[in-house]
Amino acid sequence: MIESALAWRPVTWIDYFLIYLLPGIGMSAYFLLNAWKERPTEFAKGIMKLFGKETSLIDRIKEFLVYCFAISCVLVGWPGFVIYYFKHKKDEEVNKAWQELPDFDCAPEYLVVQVNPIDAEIVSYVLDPLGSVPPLPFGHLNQGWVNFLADMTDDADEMWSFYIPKGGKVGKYQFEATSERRGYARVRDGKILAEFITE
Amino acid sequence: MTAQISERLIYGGKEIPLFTNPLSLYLKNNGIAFESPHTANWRGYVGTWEILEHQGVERLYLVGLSAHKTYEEILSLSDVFPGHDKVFAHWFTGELRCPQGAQLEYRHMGYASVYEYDLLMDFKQGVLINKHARHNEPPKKRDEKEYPPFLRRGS
Repeated sequence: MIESALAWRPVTWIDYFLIYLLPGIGMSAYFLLNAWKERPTEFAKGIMKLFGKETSLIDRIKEFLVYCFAISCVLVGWPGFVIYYFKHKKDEEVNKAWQELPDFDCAPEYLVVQVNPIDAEIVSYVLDPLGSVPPLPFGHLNQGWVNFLADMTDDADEMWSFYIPKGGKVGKYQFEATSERRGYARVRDGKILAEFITE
Repeated sequence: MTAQISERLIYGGKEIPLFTNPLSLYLKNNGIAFESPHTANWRGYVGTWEILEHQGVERLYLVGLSAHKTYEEILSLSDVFPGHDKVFAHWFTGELRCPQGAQLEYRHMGYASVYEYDLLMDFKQGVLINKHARHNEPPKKRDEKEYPPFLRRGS
């Protein structure tokens, strides 16, 4: 019997059509199995009944017809579903990579001029007549500045000052800046790798 | 998003709500984040600010802080800024918004609720450079039919 099954070859168009339907049958079985696994529990049915949302016969018939329609679509149009699956996977990967990108306010168009860290420090001291600011570069922001400098280890790194006007688009989501912003950016090959916002 | 607890501003000897978070840049630059104790305080802290005048120049200072390191552990200003009883907000450039008067409309999001007036103060590197008040009109009541069907109440 196995030999005769293996020896079978499609001849008519119906044979070819049945072969075409095979992946669709597999997909339909997979979806039906998942739907069966996710069916409402007796507890959930009890809750629905309590709220007067019990499934009526009409609802069951509608659900049955929806399943029939969906299975027909999968049987015939399974290549479309396969294409959609791989496209969706690819889109998800692209989106994940985008989400993992650092979110800087500064963009290349906001870079002003390349600066030396020492020059940046000289003009950074804050004068406060009430003496509430430490006498360090960038005052209370000094720790952030130290962290920013500590990461500038590559010889190819450049420090640039930047200025974002009020209303300029900032970040990955391109929000409008509610006020003007200034600071310094670590740039390598025209790409922004870090930023330190001073105001 | 739930409406958020405001910051506090002491100005002219009076404490008023402040619908701006001047501390956010400091926290971002220093990589500090607090824990949200509840949905009305996603930022995890409430700061008290004061505008202090010296020789005709008004500056913005942080004079109090209640920040959640954890749900139970609350940090004060001296924990976050050791050795300081007030902190000059020299990093802040922008506008402070202080709602005034009656609440015209409650909005269940951030600082979006509308009040009769907004006291708006512009700062440059922590120094007050301009201030003015804005009168807000009561938002127009929208009829339910103006909303898309899925947002309407069931009949």
